[in-house]
Amino acid sequence: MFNKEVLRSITGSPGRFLAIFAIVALGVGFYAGLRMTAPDMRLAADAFYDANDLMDLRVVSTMGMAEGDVDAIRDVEGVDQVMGAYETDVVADIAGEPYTVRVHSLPMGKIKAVEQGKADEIDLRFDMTQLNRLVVEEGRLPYNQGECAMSADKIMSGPLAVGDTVRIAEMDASEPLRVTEYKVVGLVHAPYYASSATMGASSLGSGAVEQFMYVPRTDFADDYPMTEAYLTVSGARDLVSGSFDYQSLVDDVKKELAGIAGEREQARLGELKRDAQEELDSKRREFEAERDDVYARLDEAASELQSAKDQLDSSEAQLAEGEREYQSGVRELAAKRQDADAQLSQAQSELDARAAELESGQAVLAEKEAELAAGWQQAENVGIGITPQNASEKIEQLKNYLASFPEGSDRYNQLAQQIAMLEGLVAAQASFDAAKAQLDEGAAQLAAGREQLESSRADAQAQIDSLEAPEWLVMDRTKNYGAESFDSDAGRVDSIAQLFPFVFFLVAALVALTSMTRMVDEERMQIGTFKALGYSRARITSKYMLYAGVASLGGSVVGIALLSFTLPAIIMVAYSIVYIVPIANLQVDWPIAAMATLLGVGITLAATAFASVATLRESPAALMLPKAPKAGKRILLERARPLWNRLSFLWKVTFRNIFRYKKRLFMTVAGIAGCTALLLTGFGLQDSINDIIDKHYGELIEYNAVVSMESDATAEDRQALEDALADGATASKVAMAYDEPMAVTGDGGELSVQLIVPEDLQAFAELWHFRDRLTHEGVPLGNEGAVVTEKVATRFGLSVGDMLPLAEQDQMGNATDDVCALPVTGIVENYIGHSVFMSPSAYEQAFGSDPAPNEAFANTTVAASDRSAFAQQMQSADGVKTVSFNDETIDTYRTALKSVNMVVVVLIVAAALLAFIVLYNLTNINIAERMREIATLKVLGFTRREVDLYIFREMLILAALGALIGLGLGVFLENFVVTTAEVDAVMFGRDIHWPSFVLAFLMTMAFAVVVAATMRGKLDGIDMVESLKSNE
Amino acid sequence: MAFLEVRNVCKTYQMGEVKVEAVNDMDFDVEQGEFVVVVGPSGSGKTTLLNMIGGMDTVTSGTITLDGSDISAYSPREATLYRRHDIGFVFQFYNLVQNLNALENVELASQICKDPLPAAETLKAVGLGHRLENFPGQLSGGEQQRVAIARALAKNPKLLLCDEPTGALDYKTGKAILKLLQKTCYDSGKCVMVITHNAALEAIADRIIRIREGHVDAVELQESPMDADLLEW
Repeated sequence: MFNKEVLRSITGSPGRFLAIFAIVALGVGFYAGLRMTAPDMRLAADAFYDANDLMDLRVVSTMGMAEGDVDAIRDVEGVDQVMGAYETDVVADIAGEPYTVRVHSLPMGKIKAVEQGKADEIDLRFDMTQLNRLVVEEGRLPYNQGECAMSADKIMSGPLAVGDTVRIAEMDASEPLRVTEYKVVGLVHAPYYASSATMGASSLGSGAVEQFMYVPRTDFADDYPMTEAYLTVSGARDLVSGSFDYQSLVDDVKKELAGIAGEREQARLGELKRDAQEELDSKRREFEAERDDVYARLDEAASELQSAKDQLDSSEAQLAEGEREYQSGVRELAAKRQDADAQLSQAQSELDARAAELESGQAVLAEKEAELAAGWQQAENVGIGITPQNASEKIEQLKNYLASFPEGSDRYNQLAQQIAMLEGLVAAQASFDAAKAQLDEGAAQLAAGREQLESSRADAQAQIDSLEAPEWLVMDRTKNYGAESFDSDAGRVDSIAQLFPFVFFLVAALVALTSMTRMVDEERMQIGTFKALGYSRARITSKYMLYAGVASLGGSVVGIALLSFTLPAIIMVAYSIVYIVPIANLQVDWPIAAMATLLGVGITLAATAFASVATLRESPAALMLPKAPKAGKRILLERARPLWNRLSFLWKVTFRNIFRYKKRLFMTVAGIAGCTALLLTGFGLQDSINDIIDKHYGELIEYNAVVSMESDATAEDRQALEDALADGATASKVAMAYDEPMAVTGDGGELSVQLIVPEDLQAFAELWHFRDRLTHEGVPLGNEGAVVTEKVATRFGLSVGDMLPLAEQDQMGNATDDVCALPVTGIVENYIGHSVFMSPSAYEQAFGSDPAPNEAFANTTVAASDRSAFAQQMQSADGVKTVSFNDETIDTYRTALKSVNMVVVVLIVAAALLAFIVLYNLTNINIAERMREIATLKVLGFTRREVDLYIFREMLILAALGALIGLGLGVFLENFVVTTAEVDAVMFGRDIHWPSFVLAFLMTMAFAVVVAATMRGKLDGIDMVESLKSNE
Repeated sequence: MAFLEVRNVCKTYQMGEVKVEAVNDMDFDVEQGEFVVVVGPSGSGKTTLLNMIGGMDTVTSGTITLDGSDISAYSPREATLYRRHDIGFVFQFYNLVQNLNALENVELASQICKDPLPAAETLKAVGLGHRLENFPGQLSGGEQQRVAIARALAKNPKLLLCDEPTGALDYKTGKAILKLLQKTCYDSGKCVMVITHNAALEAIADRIIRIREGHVDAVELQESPMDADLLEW
């Protein structure tokens, strides 16, 4: 019987039941849905990683790896699969713009085999089992030389399409890639790059990796070593990535790897030393062989000279021949020396050979000299006492002497022959002298060169000897930008989930309280009757508890059923703009569902018990009597007589009603405040993200292009760049600065910052306005200390006067122990990136070196369409490394804004539901309670509009009051959400713009008007005759 | 032409399958300035009659004419304005707005009609000059009914309709209320129509309309009605 009564009370008052049901559904659903989002996100990520075998650990060696290293890793206990891999950063030209691209190797044998359907014939050069498998979105995987796959992500691959050509503009000096022009054959998602917003830091280009590229492993040069090994941990696949169990399992293997690291590092060092020594030795051997070759050829020349000498006596012709050959020997010698000179600059060791060659040349010369002397001796022996010194004179005498003989006589002929021979000898002597002088000069040069050679060889050897052991860095998924930022975003959602549904639960409690109070009031007589019949208080209370319990439990179940899938899905769709992790594995997390239900039902039951306890204490007799209507009371407003007297009675009664029922006032105000706060949070979130772009690029900085220079650029290069930009045709403003990546370390962890030292403070200030965010007052750069951007200051709790710990970065972008503490002299408004600014004098004082500018900030006037041509032109200049424009960054954030829009829609829907439930409940109770008043008004001849206003004016005023309070509450809520959801790289705007306030307020009021419009029918339906018949 | 003419009025309610004839062919006249008592047992249709005369309910057939206007032909909107300007109601359970004090309850009615009487003076006239600022919860039943009468009077209506005005009151207070109504009728010359099941009240009426089972049993005129003070029941 009693249960039947409960059922009847539910069907008899569907409005009340529904109000409790709906608000509990909303509260519990939101709580459960939001709390389940983080686990769902982590599960989806885990499924994605497992499906594509994302590495659990990555081992990077600072000096590369060999097969032995990979084998050693494979033998470590707990390691499942290992894949050695190559990686290098390049600057590539994509659709005319320079991008910093990280290039990875693909184990091509397997791909090719799979592509061709011949997986059995896998030819793996390094027995690579593929990890971090790619998901092809378009096209195919690359397997031929010169083919590549790049990110299919919408933000990053904007200008990319399958079939495009990508030109490598700049790579490491060791030339890791054989190919410099790539054809994009596939657009892919890489689990290794779960986030397209942050891909990592690079020493090239803008300093951040902007694209990734997978190429066949064979496109990496043979002498380029493997840079790293990826590995999976046995059993880790069965655990959820990022969970405690997963992390401890991976940590165990990490420790094991650290155990073998020392040994492998030494082995690698030995290998590298051996390789270098071998290279040096083989070069030396090469030189020696070449030198021997030269010796042999010189010997040959010498022997030819020798034979020429043999013939010197016998014939003039032979002498001349000998001389020609001699000359050609000398020429050859000279040519060799020229060669030696040329090669000297290239290869130090060749010098050795050339020097030897010269020596032997000199030896040949000496020999030749002796031969010549012998010739002279011979000539002397002829009997005329001739020497090289008096040869010309003697020849003249002989010619005179010759004239005394009749032409054709024997003596005449003999003399003439002797003269000719002598003349030949003289000529030979002269050319010999010249050649000797030349060779002597060469000898001097070569001696110097030789000295150089010796010292450089010593250097090379010293370098080999002093090679330091490489370092093994073992990194888990928390060091993977994509995986880590996805995980921390899941954590952010969870922080928000813990606070956000609070407002729903509060309102649920108030709705339950007001509804159940009204119900107990309505059923006074019945309660009295039950009491009189002998039902215990507990038994009677149980009716209301049952009623509230059924409503709240039903609401919980429906709320969880509806929202525990939709909310995670919506949030993940929003995140999918930045992450490639597909939505999967949405499931009900039972502990969370139970917790949410417990909260929802518990709150409702507590409110019900509170609402019924007072009435149930009354005696049955008192309960049988109608409850004295709550007496009208004066309210505070009446003290303001002049104002009060001016009010019409409808207004007076409205105000009195508002303050008569405190519970309803609180319920409505809390509910509507919650609604407005949610709306304001949504709109404020949009403002905050818009501000990142609008304020940063609109108000703070005026440059739109940054040209960075090579580290070896000369002062002339810099001047040339500045002049090129300052000519007025391409840029309106230019400022040069020194830019160095550094890291701030401290309690807030480690944060990469750009240390920027403007060359000309005034010129720089025109392009980058330093101001305080709140006061907009300028912040100057002092002669000492540093100015930091706001987020750096908040993250490390720095205020003006504190010391900023600034550390140098190593090649991997980690902070070194080299920390310099600088006093903070100012904090400037900034939204994107983190910077530390110093004046040149402050820099010199702190670091003791001159900050030579390596970057130009410019406000270019070049039209967007001509930018890429401009960039190319700039880059072709000496010393220019990269040219980057702000537009790309702006686009990235505009896209991120779209994901926020979805969240805003969710917030608006939630806010609307909240407003509807609360206002519907309020109006429902008010109408039920004031049936007689409404009927009286109708009888008195109040028109429909006047009657509507009588009820709805109260609701609208409460809605307005709630909305105003909600605006205040919304500021806090928005601030909480913004600071919680904020990612490291940016600072969201901190201001909510006034149109958002107006919009949040107006939307709330619009919800109230909609509720009023729907409830109007109920007011019209009140029958005056029926309502006035009996007493309440 | 009489001030109020009720001609062949029928009222039928559809209660599911059953048709209930609450008022069946009623026919009577009332003259201006009369104190009329409509008397009949519960369920005789007297309240339905009052509702139709007061513009709170429509007739199924027949006509009701008040002061020359056919109110039975009014649209809902016209009926609302008719209640607003021409009719004053007094109910058994007073139906005051709990959240307005006595004066404001009277003003609530008077502020919406064309030619109201001053609210405070009306309350003084019903003997509540000292209770103007009190809320209904702070007044006795009789006092509340006086406020209700004052509220009806302040509208300066053509016809004052009272449905069991003494039903919730004790004997003494009830008599005082009847005296007030009678006095009002005589002093202002307005027509007052009181509906009751209590036949004792017939004594003070100018015109008695007896109703039974939905139709007029008898209409009786009394030349010299009794002063309400002397009434006993």
